[in-house]
Parts: sequence; C-alpha cells; structure tokens
Amino acid sequence: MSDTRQENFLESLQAHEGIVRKVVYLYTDRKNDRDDLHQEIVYQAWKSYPRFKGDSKFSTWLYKVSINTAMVFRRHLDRNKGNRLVVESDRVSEPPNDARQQLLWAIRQLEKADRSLIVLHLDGYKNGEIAEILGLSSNHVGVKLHRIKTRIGKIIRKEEQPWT
Amino acid sequence: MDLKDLWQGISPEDLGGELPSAPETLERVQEATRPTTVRIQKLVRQFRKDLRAYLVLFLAGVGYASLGIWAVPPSFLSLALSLACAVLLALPLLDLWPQLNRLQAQLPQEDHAQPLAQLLEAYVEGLDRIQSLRQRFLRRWLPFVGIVFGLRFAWFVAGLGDTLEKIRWTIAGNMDGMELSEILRFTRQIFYDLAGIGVIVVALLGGYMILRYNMPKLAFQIRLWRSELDWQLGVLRQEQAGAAPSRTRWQQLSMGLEQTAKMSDFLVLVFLFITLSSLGAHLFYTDLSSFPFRLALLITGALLYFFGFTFPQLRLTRQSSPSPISILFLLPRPSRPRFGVY
Repeated sequence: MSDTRQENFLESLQAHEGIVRKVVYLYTDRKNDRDDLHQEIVYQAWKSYPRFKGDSKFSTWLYKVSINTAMVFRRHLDRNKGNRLVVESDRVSEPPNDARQQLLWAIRQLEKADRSLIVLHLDGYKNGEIAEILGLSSNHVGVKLHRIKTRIGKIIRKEEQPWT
Repeated sequence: MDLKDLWQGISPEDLGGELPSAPETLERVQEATRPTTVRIQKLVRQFRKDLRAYLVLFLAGVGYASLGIWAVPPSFLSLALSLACAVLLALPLLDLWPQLNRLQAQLPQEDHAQPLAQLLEAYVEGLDRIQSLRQRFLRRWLPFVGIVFGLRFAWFVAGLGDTLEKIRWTIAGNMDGMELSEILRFTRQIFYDLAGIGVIVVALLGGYMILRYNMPKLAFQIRLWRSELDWQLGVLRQEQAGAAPSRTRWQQLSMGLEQTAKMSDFLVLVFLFITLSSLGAHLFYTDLSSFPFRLALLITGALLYFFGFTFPQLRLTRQSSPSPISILFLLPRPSRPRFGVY
C-alpha cells in the first residue's frame, strides 16, 4: 500500500478519532481491553481500507468497521471470561457524578447491539443510515430507538439516587 | 435535558482518557501483520491447543490404566488392591495437574497485546517449565506406578493358576453327572476368568504403553515447539537487523524431527491397537452387572482414541496427504502450518 494511501488513512482516522474512542469506551470495561480493542479497530480498518471506495462517508464506514470489530471483540472477551486474569486496579470505576457520565453509564447498561444503535442516533445519523450500518430495517431502528430511550430514562432516574 | 445535547458535551476525558495515537497504533499493527509475526502467532495458538490436548491425553491415559487395574473379579482383596492402585495413580496428577494449569494460566492470553520477542520468550520459558515438571513426574512418581503394575502382575499369575486348575479339572472328565445348567455356569465361569486375565494383560500393556511412550512423546513435542520458537525468534531478530535468515540449521533439524515423528506415529498405532483390543475385551467379556464400569471404559477409550490417535498423528507428521489410517476411520485431517517455510 502506497505511502499516500497510508497518509490519507491516518489523516481520516485522526479526524474521526472520536468515533473509535466512543465505540471502544462503550464496549470495554478495563483499560487493557480498551487498548486492545482500539488496536484491533485500527487493524481492521487498515486491512479493509483498500476496499473503501468512498461510496459512503468515511465516518459511516469507520463506524461500521468499529462496531463490527467491537461486537466480535466483546464476544471473544465474554467467551474467555473464565480464563482471564482480572486485576481489580485495572477495572475502570466510574461512579457517575454528572449528567454526561450518567448518560454514558446508562448506555453501557444496555444490550450490546443497542449501545451502537443509540450512539449512532446521538451522533446525528438518520434511521435509514443507522439501518444500513447495522443491517436492520429502518422501521425496526425507529422502534428500537424508542424503547432504548425509555430504558435510558429509567436507568438514569434510578441512578439519581445516591451512589453506593 | 435533551440526550443529544448531553452527548455533544461529552469530552475525551469522559470517554476514559487518552488512547494510543493512530500513527503509533498503525505502526504496531503493520509490525503485527508481517509474515513472520503472523506465523509465530499461529504457532503460539497451536502450542496452546497442543498443550491442552496433551494434558487431556495424559489424564485419559492415567484414568485408563486405573480402570484396567480395577477390572478384576470382585473380592475384598481385589477391591482393596484396586483402591490402592487408584490412589497411587491419582497422586501424580494431584501434584502435576494444578501446576500445569497454573502454568497455562500464566501464559499470555492475548497475543497481539504483547511485544513479539517478549511473547516468544514467555513461551520458551513455559516450555522449559513443562519439561522440568515432566522430569519431576518421571523421577518421583513412575516408581510407584511400577510397584502398582508389579502387584497387578502377581495378581494375574495367581488368577492364572486358579483358572488352569479349573480347566484341568474339566478336562479330567469331572463333569459327568452334573446338571446342564451347572455345566453352563461352570463353563461361563472359566470363560470369564480367561477373559478377565486377557483384560488385565491388555490393560497393563496399554497402561505401560501410555506411560512409556506418551511421556517421551510429550518431551519430543516440547523440543519441537521450543526449536521452532527459537528458530522463529532468530528469524525475527535477523529480520530486524536487516539480514536474511539462514535455512541450513532449520533444514537439518527438520529432517531429524521428521524421522522421529515417523517412529512416534508407529508407536501411537501400537498404542491404539492395544487400547482398542482392551476396550473390546472389556465390552464383550465382562459381567453384564458392571455396566457403569464398561460405560466409563468406553468413554475413556473414546477419549484415548481421539486424543491419543488423531492428535499426535496429525501434529507430528509433515505429510500433506491424509494417512491411510485417517481415511480408514474417516477422520478429518486439520491443516497445520508447515515447518521450514523460511
């Protein structure tokens, strides 16, 4: 792969770093896992970059790659839960103390597939675009979003009580 | 507050702080996708799989030998002896098994998160430790196993004498005037005795084969892994230094290993023959009342068949075509990275 292509890739990736950051945060609990998932997403994106023809926006493509990679990574983590050495100090503790963190916390309580759906919605993607990225029907996305928002509301209301 | 407004206000700090930069990550990724690295990672994954399979094989082998020793006509002495045998055979496992488990848990779980040279060194160190565990097992526990087999052999000789006496008595024509049912019962008794003795002989031979040939085979496999890891580490370092790796050493090593692998496969076939004969003898000639025992034996035999036969046969040879025995048993032959590609 030529240097120009690599430069373009890096430039686009850095411009949309937030996408990778959000997906990584929402699908991992520990710092080591975050670093691993981040690397995995960059690897997968780099591997499939030659097939990116610019039919969609780079951000949409990157979301798709990131979410797919995160889902596979998460499945792998869950499957090997028993084999992993858990270092407690490595676990990310996050008692939400403001509204933004409460929102993030609530999203992380959702089902894995629902997390990406709401994140795409909050990032301003239309239902049709979300449907394309996640391989769902547009109507289904609408229904799911409604349920997810209700659930987030419930989680936040419940968590407004003092944290233990 | 609207969720979207809240979302817009989320900063990188809210998302867990800094992540490695994209160029730095890409550089690492490119390093990780080089052919040598990919090959090493495959090798390491295979090593982990092989190690697990060997542990199961070892457990199955010891379990099988214990069951074989158990297969004697029921009596108080036999029960006591069998219990003693089972305890003696279980002792090495009590010592070895947790240590191997701990070792496996310590091996790196996520290949890509480790610098390559460090990863390889960790595996080489792991292999050394397995070797030393194996040697400790042989030194400390094999004498016990020898004693157990000796006791079983004495039991076998005693049983043989008794059976010969029954046969002699029968041939001498002492059955005149006996009821037909009594004659049948007596004949069946002789038949069971002979089958029992046969079972003990094949079980002892099977157990001996497992302990005698499986352990050196494990040692051989460990040497193979270690050599290849060492070689790959050398290739990696030479590549990093910009030099082309030499092929001669690996080719010489590879030829020697291939000869050993062929010999090893032959031993595995002998082992398989003994295992299946023993299993057949158990299944067809033991008393029907001992169904759970036969079921346990069947399961153990199946485990041995799978791990003892398919695994070493497939892992150690470099043939690309299926072996005749694999075809005979309609076993798939998984692909394996080939040696000496560099």
